[in-house]
Amino acid sequence: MGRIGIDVGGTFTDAVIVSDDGLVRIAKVRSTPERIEAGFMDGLRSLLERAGAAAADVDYLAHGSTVATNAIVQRRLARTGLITNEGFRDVLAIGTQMRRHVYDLWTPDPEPIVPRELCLPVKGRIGASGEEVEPLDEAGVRAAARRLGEEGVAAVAVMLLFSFLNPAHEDRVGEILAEELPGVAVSLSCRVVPEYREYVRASTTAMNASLLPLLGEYLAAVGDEVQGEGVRVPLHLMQTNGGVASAGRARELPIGLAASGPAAGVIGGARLADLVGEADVLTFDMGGTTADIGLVLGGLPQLRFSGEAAGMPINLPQIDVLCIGAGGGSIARVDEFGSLRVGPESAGAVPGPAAYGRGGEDATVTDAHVVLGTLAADTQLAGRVPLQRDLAVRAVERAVGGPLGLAAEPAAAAILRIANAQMANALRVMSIARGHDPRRFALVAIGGAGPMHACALADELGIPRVVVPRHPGVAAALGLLATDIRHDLRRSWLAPTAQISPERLDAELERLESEARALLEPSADATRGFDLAFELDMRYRGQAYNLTVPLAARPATAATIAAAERAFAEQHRLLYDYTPTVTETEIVTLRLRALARIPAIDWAAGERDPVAAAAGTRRVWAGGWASWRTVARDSLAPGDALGPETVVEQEDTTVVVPAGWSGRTGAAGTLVLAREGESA
Amino acid sequence: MMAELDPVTQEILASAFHHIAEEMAVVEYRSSYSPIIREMLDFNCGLFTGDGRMVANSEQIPAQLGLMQFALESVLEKWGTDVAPGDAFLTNHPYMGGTHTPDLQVFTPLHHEGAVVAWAGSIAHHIDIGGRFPGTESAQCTELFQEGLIFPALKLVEADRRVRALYDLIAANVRDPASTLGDLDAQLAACKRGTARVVELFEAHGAATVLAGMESLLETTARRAEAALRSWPARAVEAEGFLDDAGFEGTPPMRVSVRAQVEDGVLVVDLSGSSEQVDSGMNVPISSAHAGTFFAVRAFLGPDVPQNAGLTSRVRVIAPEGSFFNPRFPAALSARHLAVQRLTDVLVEALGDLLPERTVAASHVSFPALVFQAVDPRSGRLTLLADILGGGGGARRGIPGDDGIDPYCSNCAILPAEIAELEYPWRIERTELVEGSGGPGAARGGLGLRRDYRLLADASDGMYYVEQTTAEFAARGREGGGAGSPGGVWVRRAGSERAETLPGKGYIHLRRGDVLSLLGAGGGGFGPSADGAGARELTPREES
Repeated sequence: MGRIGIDVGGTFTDAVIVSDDGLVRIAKVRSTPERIEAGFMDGLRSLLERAGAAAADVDYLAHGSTVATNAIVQRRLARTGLITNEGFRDVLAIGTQMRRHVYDLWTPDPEPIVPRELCLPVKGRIGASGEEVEPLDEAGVRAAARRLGEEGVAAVAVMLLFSFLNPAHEDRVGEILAEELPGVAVSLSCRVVPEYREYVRASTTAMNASLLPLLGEYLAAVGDEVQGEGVRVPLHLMQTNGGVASAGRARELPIGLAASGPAAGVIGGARLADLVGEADVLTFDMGGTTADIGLVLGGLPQLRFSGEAAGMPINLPQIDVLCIGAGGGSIARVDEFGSLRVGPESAGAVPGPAAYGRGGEDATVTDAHVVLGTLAADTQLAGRVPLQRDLAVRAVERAVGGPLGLAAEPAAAAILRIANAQMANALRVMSIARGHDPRRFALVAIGGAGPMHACALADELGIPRVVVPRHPGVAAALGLLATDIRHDLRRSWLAPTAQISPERLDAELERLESEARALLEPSADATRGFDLAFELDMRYRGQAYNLTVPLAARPATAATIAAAERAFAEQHRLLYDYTPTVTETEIVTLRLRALARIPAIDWAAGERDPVAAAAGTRRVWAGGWASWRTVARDSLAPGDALGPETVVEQEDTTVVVPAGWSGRTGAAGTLVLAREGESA
Repeated sequence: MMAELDPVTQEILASAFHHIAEEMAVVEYRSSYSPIIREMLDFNCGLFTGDGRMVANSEQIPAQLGLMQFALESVLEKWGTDVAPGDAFLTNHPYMGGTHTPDLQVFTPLHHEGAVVAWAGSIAHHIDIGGRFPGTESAQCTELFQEGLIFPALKLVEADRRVRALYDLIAANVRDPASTLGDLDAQLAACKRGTARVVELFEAHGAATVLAGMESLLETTARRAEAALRSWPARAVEAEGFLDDAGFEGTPPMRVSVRAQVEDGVLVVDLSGSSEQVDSGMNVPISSAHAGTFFAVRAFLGPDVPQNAGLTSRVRVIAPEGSFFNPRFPAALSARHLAVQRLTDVLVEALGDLLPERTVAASHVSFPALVFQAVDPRSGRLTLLADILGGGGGARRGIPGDDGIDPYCSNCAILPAEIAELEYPWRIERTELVEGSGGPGAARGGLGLRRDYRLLADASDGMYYVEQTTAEFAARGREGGGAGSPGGVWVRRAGSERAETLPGKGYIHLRRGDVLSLLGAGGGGFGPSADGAGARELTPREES
C-alpha cells in the first residue's frame, strides 16, 4: 500500500510515504536525541495517520540515521580495546605520522579512539605472501582478552598484519575472544576492510568496533518498536556507500552508516533529477551551516573509497560528498586588512541570523537575503520565526558595509558573492578537479537554502540548467525510497596484469559472488532480482593510487582482463593527461558491487491539480531595486512557465529565478530552470 | 595591463589560486610511482607570477616551500625570452637556487598574448638520481659530484616534445629509472593541470584581472606580514644549537647560531655565528636556509599570512659565503635537511624568547632516515626502500608534545609496514613508540619512535642517518621541563643476540636476517615535573 522513508536528523525527523498511486505525503517531527527511536516512531505514526494507512500495510521501510555520525562526532563511543601484532601496538597512535596542521606548533593531534593501555600486542605473524611466519600465541591472546575484560571494554577490534591475505590468525583471535569475553562486541579487520595499509585498516576496524554496542542497542530498540507497531516488513538502513542494507548487516558493520546523512541527499537529488531526464548532475544541498556537494554520472552517485571520521581515516566506499562550511547561518566579517570573509563560523539556530530577532548580532548569509528582498521580511523559516529586515540591515551595515564603505544592499550582495565563490570552488573540486566539465551538467538544488543560490552558482560554472525538486527540504527522506540495496565487497589481490591466470581470478570472483548472494538473500522479498557488477582497481606498476574500472561478467577470461586494462589506460589518460613512461599495469583489488533493485516509484502518478494561482510582486535588489514576481509553489501546474526575476515561495524553501533565467514545471512537480539560450 | 580589483574579486581569486595548487598536488601524488612521493608525500606544487614570484602552494613539505622561486629565478635568468608554449624546464642545481640534487623541480610557463604571465611548478624528492650512494643523498658525500645527476635549468620538454637525449641520459644514470621517469611524468601532469586551470580563470575573469589578483594577493600578504612583524618587540634574540658531528664519526659538532630582530618591518635572521662549511654532505644550500627560516616565521605569524612571495619579501636571511648555510661550489650538501631542521629548531627557540606567550619546548630533530637497495628474490628486481621516522614533538604549556611526528620543516608520512613488506624484501618487526623517551615536565615531551627492519634478501647496502644521538644535543625542555631522550641506530646481525650500536650517519652492507633499528628522539617537556626527573637514556641493549 505504501513505502516509507524516515530520515532522522539532528533537529528534525523527515518522513515521507509514497502510496501505490504515486502520491507523496510528508511529515516533519522533532527529533528526540535522548531516545532517538521515539522521534522515529513519531514520524512513522504521524505519516500513517496522514496517509490513513495501517502499519500492517507498509510494504517497505527505509531509515536514514545520524546515530553513528553523532556518536563519532561527540565521541560517545564504546570503551574499545585493540589486539594487534607484537611490535605494532601503537599503530593507531602513530597513524601516518603526519601532522594535521603543518605550521601550528601549539594544537595537539587528536587522541586515538583506543587509549594505549587498551592496545595489546600478541605474538604470531603472517607474512607478505599470506604464509605463516610465526604461529599465533593462543595463550597470549587469552591473557590479552582477560586483561581487556578486567579493563571493562565493551568492544574489541582485531587488526593483524596481512590478514587480508590470510585471515587464519584473526579468525582464531575472534574465536578466543568469543570464549573469553562473551557479550563483548568483536570486529575483525579482515571482515571490515580486507585491504592493505595497516593503519587505515586498524582505524576503520577500531571505529567499527567502538560503534557496535551503541548501534546494536539502537537497532534492536527500533526493530522492536516497529514490530510492536505492527509493521511486518524488515527495516532497511541507509549506508554511506549509497545503498541500503538490512538492519542485520548494519549491526555488523555500523561504520557503514557513519556518513550516510549527506549520501541520502545525493541519492535523493540524483533520483529526482532523473525524473526530468537529467542523468549527469551535481547535487547541491545547502542548509543552515553546511553545503554538501555530490557528483552523479549517468544517474549513479559517484563513490570514493576512503574518508575520515573523528580525525581518523575510514577506508570504506562512500558516496563522494564534499561538505563545506557555507550555509544560511554562515557569518560574514571584514578582517583588519579589509578582506571580506564568510563562514565557516555559523550563527546556528540559536541565536541564529540577526533577522531572527533572537539576539543574534552577526551578519549572516540569510541576513543578506533579507536585505536584498530575496527572502521576504514576513517569511517564516524553520522554527517559525518571522524575519525582521531592519535587524538584518543593521547587522550587514555594521559587519560589512561600514568597513568596506558600502551601503547595506551592495554589502549584502558582496556577502552572497563570497559565499557563492566558496561553493563554486567546491563545485569545481567535485567536477573539474575530477575531470568533468560542469557545462554538461545540471545542478540539483536541495536543502532549505539550495534553491536560493543555485542559479548564481550555475552562472559561475557555466552550468546550463538547475533542477528544483517538488520538496527540496525532504530530498534525503525521498532518497531513501529510491535507493537500492547495496553491498560492496572487495579483496586485496595484487598481481601484474600480464601474469594473471584467468582461472585463478575467476575462482576468487566466485568466492566474492557467493558472499554477496548470502548478504542479499534476506532482502529477497522486497526486491526485484540481483545485479552483480565486478570491478578492478588497477594502476601502473609503481603507482599506489588506483583507478577503478569495470570488469565484464564472469567468467573472467584473457579477453575480459584485456578490456579492463584498456579501460584503465583510457581513464588514466583522461584524468592525468599524459602517456606514461611505465606501461606495465597491476591489479590491486577485486571489487564486487551487489545490488538488489527496489521497485521503481511512479512519481508522476501523484501530481496534484493546481490550486488557485497566488501571485504578487515584491522589491528585490540586484544591482538596483526592481520589482520581481512572486509565485506560490503550490499554485504551479504541470507545464507552467516562469519568467526571469521571479521568487517562488514554498513551505520548505524559496526558489530564486534571477535575470537571465527562466523555468517551467516538469514531471512530478519538479521545477526546471534554464539559463537564457538553453532549453529547460 | 593591471586592472583595478574590488575586495570581493580579490578574495575569490586568492582562493582559486590556492585551490589550483592543491589540485596540482592531488594530480601529482595520485599518479606518482615511488613511495617517497605517493606514501610519504615528499613533494610540493606551486603557482608563480610571470617573473617568478610564488603566489600559492600546496603546503606538503615546508622545507621545499619558500624556495621554489629561487630555482625558477635561475630558469628565468638562463632562458630569458627563449621560453615557448609547451616547454617544461627541469632544474635541481643546488648552486642555482636548488636544494639537494634528489629534489627535481619542474616548471611550465603560461603564455598570454605572446608573453609569459605565470608559471606552474612542482618539486619532488626522487628516490634516486644516481651518484655514489643508493638513494643519492648521504652525509658522507664529500663533493657535489658524488651526489648524482645535476640539471642546471634544462629544457625537459620543448614545444610539447620530450627532449629524448635528456630522458635517455636520466634512464641510464639512475638506479630505478622506472620510478624516476614515472615521477617526472607525474610532475609534468601536475604542472599541466596548473596552467590549464589558470587559463580557465582567464576565461572567467579576464587575464588582466587574474594577474592583478596575483599582484594584490602578494601585496596584501606583505602588508599583513609587515604589520604583524611591527607588532613584535624590536629587541634582538639569539639562540644556538648543535649537530652531532660533521657527517663522519669523531668529527666535532657543528654550531647553528641564530640572531633574529625585526628591523623596519622586516625580520632579519643572521646565521653568521654558525660553523664554516665542511667536507661532507651536511652543508646547507642558501635556498634551504631560507626555507628553514620561512617555516619558523610563518608558524609565529599565524594562519592569516599565507606562504607566498609577499611573506618572503618581509624576511631577510644573512649567511656569509663559505659558511655552513651558504657553502661554496662544489661543496656537498645532500644531507642538508638535518641542519635545516636544527636551524628551524633554534629559530623557534629564539622567537619563543621574543614572544614568551607562544613559547614551546623543542621538538626532536633526529630525522631518522634510510635508503637501502636490494634485489627482491620474489621478482628478481632491484628495489630501493626509503623510509623516514618520526620522534617526539615539543610540549606546550599544559599540553603534552605529539608522539611520533616529523616536525618543523618536514612532515613525511611513515611507510606503511604492509607496503614495505609487499614491495620490498624486508620485514618490519616493530614500529613502536618508546615509553619514557619524552622529556619530563608538567606537560611531557612527545615520544620517540622505533622501527626494526629485517632483511629478507641475500644482501643489501645503503645509507642511513640519525641526528641528535647524544643527550648533550637532545630536544630541550622549556620553563623547567626536561630534555627528550636521544635517537639512535643499531644493527643485530643474523644469528647474533647482541645489538651493535652504529655511528649516527653511515653506509653499511647487510646480509639476510640482519635487523637494522632506527630510533627517533623524544621531544622536550614543558614546565617542571612533579618529581624533577630527567628523561631516561635508552640503550640499544635494554630495548632489543
